[in-house]
Amino acid sequence: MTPSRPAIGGFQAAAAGALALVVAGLAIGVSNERGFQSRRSQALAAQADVLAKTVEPALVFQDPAAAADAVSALEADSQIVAGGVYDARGARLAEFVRNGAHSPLRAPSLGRARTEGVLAVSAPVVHEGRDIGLVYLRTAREPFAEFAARHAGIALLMLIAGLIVGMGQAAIRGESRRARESQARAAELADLNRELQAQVERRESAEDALRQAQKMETLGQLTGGIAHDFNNLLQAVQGSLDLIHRNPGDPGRVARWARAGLEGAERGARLTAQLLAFSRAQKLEMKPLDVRLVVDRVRDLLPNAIGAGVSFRFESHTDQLWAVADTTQLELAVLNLCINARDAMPNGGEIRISTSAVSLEGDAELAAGEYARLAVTDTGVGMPEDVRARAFDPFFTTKGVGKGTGLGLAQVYGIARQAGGAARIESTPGQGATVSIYLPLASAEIAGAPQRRLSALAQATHAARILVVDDDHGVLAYVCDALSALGYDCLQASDAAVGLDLARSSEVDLLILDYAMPGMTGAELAAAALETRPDLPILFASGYAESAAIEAALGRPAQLLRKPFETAVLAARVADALAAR
Amino acid sequence: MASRPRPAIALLLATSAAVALWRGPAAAQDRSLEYPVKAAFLYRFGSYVGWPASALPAGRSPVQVCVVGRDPFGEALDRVVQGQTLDGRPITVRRLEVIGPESGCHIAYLGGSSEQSPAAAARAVADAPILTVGEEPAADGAVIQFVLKGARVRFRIDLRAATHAGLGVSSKLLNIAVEVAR
Repeated sequence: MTPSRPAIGGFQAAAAGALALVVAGLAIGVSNERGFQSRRSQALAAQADVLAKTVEPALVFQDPAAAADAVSALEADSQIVAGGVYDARGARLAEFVRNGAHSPLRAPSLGRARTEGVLAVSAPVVHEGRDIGLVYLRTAREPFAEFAARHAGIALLMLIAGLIVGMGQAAIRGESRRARESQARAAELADLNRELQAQVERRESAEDALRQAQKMETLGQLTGGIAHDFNNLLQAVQGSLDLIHRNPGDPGRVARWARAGLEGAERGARLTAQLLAFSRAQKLEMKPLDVRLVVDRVRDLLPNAIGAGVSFRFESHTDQLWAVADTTQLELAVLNLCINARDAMPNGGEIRISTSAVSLEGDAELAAGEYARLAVTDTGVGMPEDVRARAFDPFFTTKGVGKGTGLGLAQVYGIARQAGGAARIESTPGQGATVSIYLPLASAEIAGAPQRRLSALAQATHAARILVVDDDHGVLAYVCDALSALGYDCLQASDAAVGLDLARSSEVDLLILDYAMPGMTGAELAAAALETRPDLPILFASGYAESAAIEAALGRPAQLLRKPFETAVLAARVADALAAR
Repeated sequence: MASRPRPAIALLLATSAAVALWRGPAAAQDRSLEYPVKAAFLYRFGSYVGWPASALPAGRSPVQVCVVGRDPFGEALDRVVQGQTLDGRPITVRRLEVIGPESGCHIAYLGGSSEQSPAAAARAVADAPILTVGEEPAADGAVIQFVLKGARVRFRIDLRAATHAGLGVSSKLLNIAVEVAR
């Protein structure tokens, strides 16, 4: 471990210092001990000399009692355990015994001896310059406590030094062990991380594959459902038109067949609107609206749309409920909710549609404030939790193939979110469900004037020339026929270049342009036309949501007429556009 | 201890052996060793006594050990002092019948004779610097008197007599005396 090197180096110096301290301590200890033993030996020798002089007369006069007297004086020195007085022949004349420690029976050799902490000294007894015997003294083995006490200081120092070295080494060992362990852990972690990354990658690719598969499945469901629905409604339109074509002379039946054909076409329009709303490709027309009026309008459609076996109850808890939303989308949403409610009640039941103002605070999804709540409640089978949780997911449906697109609730959720609100589902299996749409409540100023209803066709108030350009001859013929029927002068062109010529050469009051055309788009045509007639009103009739492209080409907001459109809508938009001139 | 016993040491050893033997239980009745021991003691007293310089001038003048009257030691005394010294001075043995202050003796064993009893001899040299030694109780008035304690030869010291004679007696000697009259 690189960072700890300096620490180890520092410690090595400290360890060397400690080692030096130990060596010095040992040397001092040994020196001290030698000095001590030497002094002790000298002291004992001095004592032996004194004894030798004392016992001299006793030896001279062969007086064991006197010799014993002399050696008994050793009693005073607790260090001495044995003493002896020997005559010239080496026989022991007297001895001193402590704790059963005897001196040798025969005279030992002269001098000092030290064995295992026991010090023995023999000193000659000199009389008239001659040795006439000797005295012998022996100390007790030194108690360890005294030895320890003598060397405690040094020993303590060495112990501390040893401890320092030991602790340091332990620390180093611990450090290096920790370093090894942490390296091992790091390596393990790295392995684990690689494994995890690999797993994540495998999972991601598996999820991608799954998502792709789900998308394909969804697309299959969608196309299957839509194709089925479209086939049905086309059957109605085609059949009705066929009957009208074969029996043009029967006005009563023609009117009925025409109504049936129109209903089929309306269903088709709703279906495509749903799809577009889901794809959010369609430009929403966010306008102030009274939620109660939306419900009122749907109310007229419901009996036909839902069918028998289901009763309706409408509850309104306020006079007015203004919010900003796309009227058509909201109507569709309510209709979808009612269709779902009916499907949840195979044996019939009641659908309750209620509107109210609620005040939300501390909501997880919605900001605190006032909201318009539009709730559709059924008395049907309800939803289990797993279904409820996924109910707003696009293409999620519990209905069989061809029975549903899985877009209804997704559209409801989308429209609510786009309006700054939310959609919620409360359900208890077996006891029905309530789907609520929350829309931010709009103030009265924003709300402005109530919406004009489009029930009556807006007749031309004055003569106006309208140029219609569309590469689809059917659309072209219908629009011009309708405009003519409304009292307008209609010019038509099935080609953008021809249309531009007409726009430049003829005094036209309004352009109705298709967007997607070969050669030149409606937007390019409009831009070119606006160069000579900057104030020329233009309506774009388009099945797609090219509003962004159109506005980019024009450099100003575009008036959009969403295909398919009813004649009444056409009349109203044309009247509005002309009036705005 | 010298590894090679010299004659003097051999003699000392012999004396000690004699003392030891005589002291032994078997030799308790054997009085034959009593006098060799006393002979050894006699001259050894000299080691612990100080004479006035007038009596023992500095230098190597010999110390005279005299046997006055009856001689119980015989050759033993001569043998025991053979080669011995007292403070570096040689020892000579003289035998005389009567002792007087001017006899030149330093140590005198008062054996007694028909002409001079031990006590009389002691009185005769009481003022002289002579270490008088005798047997108790015959040598009354002598500085040192031999006594027998059990089987051992011991001695008593009359310190007043010593002081009267102008002699100094070492405390070492006093320490081992069985009795000291002060």
